[in-house]
Amino acid sequence: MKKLSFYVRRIGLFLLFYLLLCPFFPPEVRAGGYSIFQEEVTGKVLDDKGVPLAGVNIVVESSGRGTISDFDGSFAIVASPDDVLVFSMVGFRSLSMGVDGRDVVNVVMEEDVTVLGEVVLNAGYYTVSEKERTGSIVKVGAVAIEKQPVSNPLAALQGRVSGAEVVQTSGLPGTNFNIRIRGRNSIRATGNDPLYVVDGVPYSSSSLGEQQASLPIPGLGVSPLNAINPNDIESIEILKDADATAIYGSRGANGVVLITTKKGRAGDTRARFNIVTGMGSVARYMDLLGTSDFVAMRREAYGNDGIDPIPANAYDINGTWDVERYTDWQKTLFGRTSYMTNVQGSISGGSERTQFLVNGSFFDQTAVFPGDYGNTKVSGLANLSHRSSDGRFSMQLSTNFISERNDLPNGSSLVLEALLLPPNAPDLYDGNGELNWENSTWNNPLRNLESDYTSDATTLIGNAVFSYRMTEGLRFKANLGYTENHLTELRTVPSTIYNPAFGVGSEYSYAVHNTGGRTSWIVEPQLQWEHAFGALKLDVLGGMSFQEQYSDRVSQRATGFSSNSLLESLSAGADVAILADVDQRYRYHAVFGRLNLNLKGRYLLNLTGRRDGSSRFGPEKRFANFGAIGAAWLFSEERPFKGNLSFLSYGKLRGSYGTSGNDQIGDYQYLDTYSFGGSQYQNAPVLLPTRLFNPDFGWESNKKLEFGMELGFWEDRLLVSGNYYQNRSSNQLLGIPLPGTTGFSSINGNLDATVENKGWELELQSTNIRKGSFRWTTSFNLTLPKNRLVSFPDLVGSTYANQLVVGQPLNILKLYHSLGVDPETGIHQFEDFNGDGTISSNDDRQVIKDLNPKYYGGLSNTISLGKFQLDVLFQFSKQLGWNYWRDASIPGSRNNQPIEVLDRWREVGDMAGAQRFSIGQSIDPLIGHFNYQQSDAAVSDASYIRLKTLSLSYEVADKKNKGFGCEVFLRGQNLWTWTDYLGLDPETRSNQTVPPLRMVSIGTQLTF
Amino acid sequence: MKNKNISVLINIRLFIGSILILNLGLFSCEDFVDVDLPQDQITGEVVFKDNATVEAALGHIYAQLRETAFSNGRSSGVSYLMGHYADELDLNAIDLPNVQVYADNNVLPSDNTVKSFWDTGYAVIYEANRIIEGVGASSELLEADRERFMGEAKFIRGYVHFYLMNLFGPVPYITDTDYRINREVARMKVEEVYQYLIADLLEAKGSLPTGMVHPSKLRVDHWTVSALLARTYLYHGEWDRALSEANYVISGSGASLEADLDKVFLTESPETLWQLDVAMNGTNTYEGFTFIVNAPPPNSSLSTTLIAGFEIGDQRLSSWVGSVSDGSSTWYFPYKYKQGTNTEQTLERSIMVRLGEVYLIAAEAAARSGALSEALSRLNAIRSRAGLPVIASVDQGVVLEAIWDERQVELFTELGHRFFDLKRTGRVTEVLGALKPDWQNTDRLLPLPESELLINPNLEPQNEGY
Repeated sequence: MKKLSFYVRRIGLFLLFYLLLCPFFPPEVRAGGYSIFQEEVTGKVLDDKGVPLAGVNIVVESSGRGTISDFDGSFAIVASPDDVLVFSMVGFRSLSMGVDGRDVVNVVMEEDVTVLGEVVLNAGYYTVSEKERTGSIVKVGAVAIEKQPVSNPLAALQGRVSGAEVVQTSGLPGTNFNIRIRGRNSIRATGNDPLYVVDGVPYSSSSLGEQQASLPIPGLGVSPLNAINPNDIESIEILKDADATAIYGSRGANGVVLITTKKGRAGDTRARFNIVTGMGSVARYMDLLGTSDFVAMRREAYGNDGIDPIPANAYDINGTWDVERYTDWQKTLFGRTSYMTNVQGSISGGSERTQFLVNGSFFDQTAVFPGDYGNTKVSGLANLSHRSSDGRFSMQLSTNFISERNDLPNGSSLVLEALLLPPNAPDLYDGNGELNWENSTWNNPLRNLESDYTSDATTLIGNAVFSYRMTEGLRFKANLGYTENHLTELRTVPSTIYNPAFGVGSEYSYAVHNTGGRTSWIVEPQLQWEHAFGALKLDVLGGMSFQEQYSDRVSQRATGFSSNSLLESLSAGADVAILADVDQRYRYHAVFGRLNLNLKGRYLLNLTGRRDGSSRFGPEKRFANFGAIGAAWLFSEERPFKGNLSFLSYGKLRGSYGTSGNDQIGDYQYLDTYSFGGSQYQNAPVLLPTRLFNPDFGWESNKKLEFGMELGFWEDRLLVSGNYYQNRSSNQLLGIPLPGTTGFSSINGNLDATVENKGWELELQSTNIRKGSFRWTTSFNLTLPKNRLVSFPDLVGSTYANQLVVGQPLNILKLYHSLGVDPETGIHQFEDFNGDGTISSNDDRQVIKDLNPKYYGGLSNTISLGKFQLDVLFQFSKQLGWNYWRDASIPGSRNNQPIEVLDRWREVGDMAGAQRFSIGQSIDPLIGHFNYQQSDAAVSDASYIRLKTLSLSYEVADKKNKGFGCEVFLRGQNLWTWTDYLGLDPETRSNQTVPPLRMVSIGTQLTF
Repeated sequence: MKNKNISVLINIRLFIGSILILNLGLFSCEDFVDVDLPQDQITGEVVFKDNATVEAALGHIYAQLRETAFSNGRSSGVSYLMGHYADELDLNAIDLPNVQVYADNNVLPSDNTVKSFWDTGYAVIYEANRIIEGVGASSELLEADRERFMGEAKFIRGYVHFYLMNLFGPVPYITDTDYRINREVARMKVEEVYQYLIADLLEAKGSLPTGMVHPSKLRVDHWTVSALLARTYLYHGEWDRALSEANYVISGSGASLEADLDKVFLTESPETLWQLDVAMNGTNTYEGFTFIVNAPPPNSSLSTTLIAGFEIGDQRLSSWVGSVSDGSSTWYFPYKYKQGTNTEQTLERSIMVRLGEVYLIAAEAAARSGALSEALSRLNAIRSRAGLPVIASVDQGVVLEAIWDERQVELFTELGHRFFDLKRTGRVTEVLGALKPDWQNTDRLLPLPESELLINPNLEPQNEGY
C-alpha cells in the first residue's frame, strides 16, 4: 500500500514536471519517458453476439492516450497496471474496465439503443452531453439528414425539430427555406433569422443576389445555405433557450443553428460511394375550369354585364379562338418530371492520433418547366485532425468547397400564367415550330423561356482549431475561420419575349449582370479550465471573438444590343447602366465566458455571458451585455428515486433565464448618407439620400425563460421531454413603416413594444420493439406556439394602428367579414361594422385572422428487420393561410378559375358561394371581388399532414463479414399530402411559384 | 525547492497565456468595430459643401421625374394613364387590368399606380426639402449658387404638389424633412395648398436669375417657374395674374413658337421651356416608346372623340397623329414625339413645359377678364401654326369654348392637361359622363392610396366615392 502511494506520487510529480517541460523536449525524449512505468495491454472487443468490433475508441483514463480497435477487434495500448480503460463507440454503451495488472483485457460491449449519455451535443463554444445539458438543444444527425433526397440542409430539419418552424418557399431547385425558431420575435418581418454557424464560423444567410437579376427566385434570391451540401453534414444542432444562446449574445435572439461537417474517424481506411437517382414532379395541381365551363362562364359574364354583342377583343369566345380546344396549362407549363442525380464518394480513416476525411459529391436536379433548366452542385470536403503523442496539442483543419449553378427560366410567372390562361388559349407553337402569337391575340406563355436566369455560386468554408493543454485542466484554444462566397448572376431578356408584331428589335433586349462576393474571417482565442473540487466539477471558459465581414456587389444592366445572340456579353451592349455598386463592412467584437458547475453529476449550474460590440450601431449604442443562467437537477439519481422506482431510469428538471440580442438591421443604417443612384442626368451620376436616418437606434433585447423536464423509462427505452418557454423581445428594432408623405417607406428605430413567444414543446422517443433482429423505434415531436404582442405604447396613433392589435399575434390580418353572396344582386356582401352604409377600409376590416400555426410537429418511425430498414416521417401543421382567392382575378374575366366558381349566383334568389360572373368592367362586382380578396373568405384552413420522407433500405452485404458493404435503398420525399387547402400547396401558400416536389429516388451505397 | 520551481513555471505559463489573450483584447476592442463608409456613399453634410454634389443631388430629382414619378412618359405616367382616364385614349388590349381600371374610371384605393403617384411624388418632395435645408445651412456655397439651388428645389416642390393636388384634391403640402412631422400630417384644404404653392413659386422665381442659365432647358430656370406660376394662377382663377405672368414669359423668356409642327418636340425646339435630359446619349423619350405603334392592334389608341375634335384642315392631325391599319380597321396614336427607339444622337427629350401652353394660358386668362381681342390674338397664334383659320368672335363664351377646344387638340396626351382642363372648367362630368358608363362625379379625384390611410389615419377621410 505504502509502496503504491509512493509510486503514484512519483508518477504524479513526474507527469507534472513533464507537462511543463515537454514542449522543450524533442519527441524521442518524451516517448522514452513512459515505458519506464507502463506496459502494453492487449485485448479484443466483441459485441454481445460475439462479433469483433472494429473502430472502438479505447482511452487510458489517467493519461488520455488512446487507440482504436482493429479490424478483428484487437487492440494494444500502453497503460499502467492500475489504469482504467474506457471503451466507447457510437451505438454502444461506454464501458470502463480496470486493467488490474492484467496483460490481456477482453471486453464485450452492449449495444445501446437510446445512447442518451453518449450523445454529445455541440453547443458552439463547448460541448455537453445530452444528459448533463442545462439548455435547450436539439440535434439532427447525419443518419436522419442522409435519408432525405434534398439539396438544402434546412429541408432535413422539417418535422424533426420541436420549436423550429421550417417552411419551404418554392419547389424550384435552389430556393429558400424560412426558419423561425420559437416564433417571430421582431415586429420587423425581416430580421427574424437565426444565426448560422458552420464549424464555428458564422455564416451569413443573406443572399448576394441582385433583385433585378434574381426575379425568378421567390423570396430573397439564391440562398447561401443551399450551397452547403447536406451530405457533408455530420450534425445540425439547434440552440433555442437563453442558456444555450446567450453565449452568442447580440445574435442569439432568434436561436442559433450550428452545422458541423463530417470528420474522419480512426480505423481502417474506408471508402464509401453513394449513388442516388430520382424523379420528381409537382404533387398537387388545382382543379380549374375545363373549356366548356370556361366559355360558358365568359358568355354569362358578358350577359351579366349587359355587353352585347361580344366585343371584338374577346378573342376567347368571339370566334377568334377555337372554343373547343383544351390545354391543361398546369401540366404543360410546370408539369415536367424533374430528374435528380446525386453521386458521392468519400474516403476516411486514420490512426489514433491523425484522422482524415475526403468527401466529394455531385448533385444535379432539373426543373419542372419545359426546357433545359436545373440546379447543379459540386462539392468537396476535406478535413484533418491531429493530436500530438502526449495529447497536449491538437488541431483540426477543415475545408469545404461548393460550386453551384442554377439555371431557371426568367418567368416565375409561368406558374401564375398556367393558372390564369384560358383553357382554350391557342397552341404554343405554329406550324413552323415558332412561338405562336395567334395574330397578336395573346401573350404566348413560352415567351418566358426566351429569357434566362443563371447563377453561379462558389462557397469556401475554411476552419482551423488549435488547442494546447497548458497545464492540467487548462487549455488554450484558438478557433480560426474564413469563408468566402461568390455569386454571379445573369438574367437575359431578349426582344423575342415580345410579340414580333410589335417590331421590337434587339436594341430593346437587355441583360442584368450581377457579381457579388463576401469574405468573412473570425478569430476566437479561448481559455478553458476544468477542475474538480471533490464532487464538484468546475468548467470555466473565457474567450474573445473578432469578426469581420466584407461584401461587395456590382450589378449592371446592359441594353442596346445589335443582336440577341450577344446578350450574355456585357461589352456588346451599347449602354451599360450601373444598378448597384455597393460594398459593406461589418465588424463584430465580443468577450464571452461560461462557468459550469457540476455537483455529483446531479446538480448542474451553467452561467454564460457575453459583451458585444457591433459596427451596425452608432458610437453611443455600440456595446451591450448579455447573459444567462441555466440549472438542471438529475433527480433520478437521488435516493428516493434511485432503486425505488426502477422503471424510471432518467429524470431531469431544468430551467434557464437570460438575455440575448438581435442586430439584423443591416450595415451603416445609423448614418445620414447620400449614395450614387445608378442613374444619370446631364451625363453626370446623380446622388440620392440613402435613407431617413436615426443615429440612436440600439440592440433589440430578448429575454428568454424556460423550464423543461426530461424523463426516461425502462432503461431509457422511452424518453419523454417537455419544455415550456416564454421569450419576450423588447426595445424592438425595426424599420418603422412610414407613410409616403415622409418620402420613404420606413425608418430604423427602437420601439418600446414587447413581443412574447411562449409555448410548449413535447418530444418523445421510444424503442417499441427490440427483439433479435427486429427493431422498431418511434420519435414524435409537437410544438404548441403562441405569439402575442404584449404592449405597444400609442399603438392607435402609430403607423401600426391598422396592422397590429395588442394581445394578438404579430402575424395577423384585419379583414372584412364576408357575409356571402347577396341573393338579390349576386354580389359579395360584407359586414358593415361601423354602420356607415359603405364597406370601407380600416373601419370595416375588423375580423382578425391569425396566420401562425396552432401546432406543428413530426412523427417518425424506424423499423428494421434483419437487413431491411424502413424510415417513415410525417410532418404536420395546423394553420390558416391566404388561399387562392387572395390573388385571384374576378370570375368572368378572361382568366381561368378554380371549379369552385361554378357555384355562382345566376338569378335573384340564388344562394351561391361565388358571386355573379362579370368581365370586370362594371363597378359593383369589381368592388365585391376586391373586398372579397381582402376578406376572411380569402383566408382559410391551410393545415396539412405530409408524408415527408419514406426510406426503405436493404443491406446486401455487410462490411464486417464480406469485407465490403452494400446497401440499396428507395427513398421518397413529399410523397403524400392530406389537406383541404384551396390553392396549389398549403406550405408555400403561393400561386406564383412551383409547389414542393414529390421526389422518388433509388440509390446504392457501397463501403470498402 | 522543486515544487517552488514548478509553481513558478505554472505562473509563467499562465502569465504568458494571459498576455496572449490580453494582447488580442487590447488591440482596440472599441476601435475594432469602427468601420469606414462604403465607396458609394457620402455623408449628407459633405453633399452640401460643394456645387458638384448639390448638382448631382438635384440631378437625381430630375432623373426621378423622368423615370418613376407621375411625370414619366411610360405606361405608369399621367400622360398615358390620365389620357385613358379622360377621353384621350382608348384601351384596346384586354389583358392590361391595371390600365383598364383607369380607362373605366374604376380606380380603387389599393391601386398600385395610385400608390406610386403618391409615394414617388412625396419622395421627390423630400429630396427637394433636403436640398432646401442642406443648402440653406451650408456655409461653403457661394450666395449666388445657394440661391440658384434653392430656387430649383422650391420649384420642384411646388411642381410636384401641383400635380398631387390636381390628382388627389386636398393633400398635405410638405415643407419639412422631419419624418416625425411628416408621418402625422393631415390633408390641407385646396386653398391652403395653393397658398403654399404660389409662395414657393414666387420665391423660386425670385431666386432664379432672368438671364439664360440653362440654354439647353434641361434644368428649371426663371422662365419655367414663371410659366408654372401662370398655369397655377389660371387654375386658381386669378386671371389678371395669370395673364401678366403668361405675357411675361412670352415676351421675356426668349422662347418662341416653333413654326414647323414637326419640329415642336425636337430637343432644340425654341418653344421648350423645360425638358428632361435622357439617361444616355442616343436614347429618346419614353413617350415615343409608349405611344408609337408599329403593328396593329395597338394596346392603346387615340379616342374617336379626340380625333373628331380636330377641325378640318388641322395640320396637327397629320403631324402629331400617327396611324396604323390592319386593312379593315385603323387606329390612331400620338405622334408628337417621332422616335420610338434609339438614334445615334438623342433627337427628342420629354418636354415638361412649353410656350404653346403659355399662349393658351394667356388667351384664356385674357378671355376670362374680358380682354377678348388679346385672347384671340394668343389663340390665333396657335391656330395659325396648325394651319387653321383665325377666329374672330366677340362672345366671351364662344371664345372660351374655342380656347378649351384648342387646348384639347394642342396639348393632348401631354401630362394630363385634358383631364385637368375638364375639371377646372367644370365640364368633367358632362363630358366624361356621356362617354363612360361608370363615370361618377366623385371620379374627379383619385383615391388616396389605401396603404397611406392604414399607416397615417390623420389623412382620413378618403376621397368621396371610394
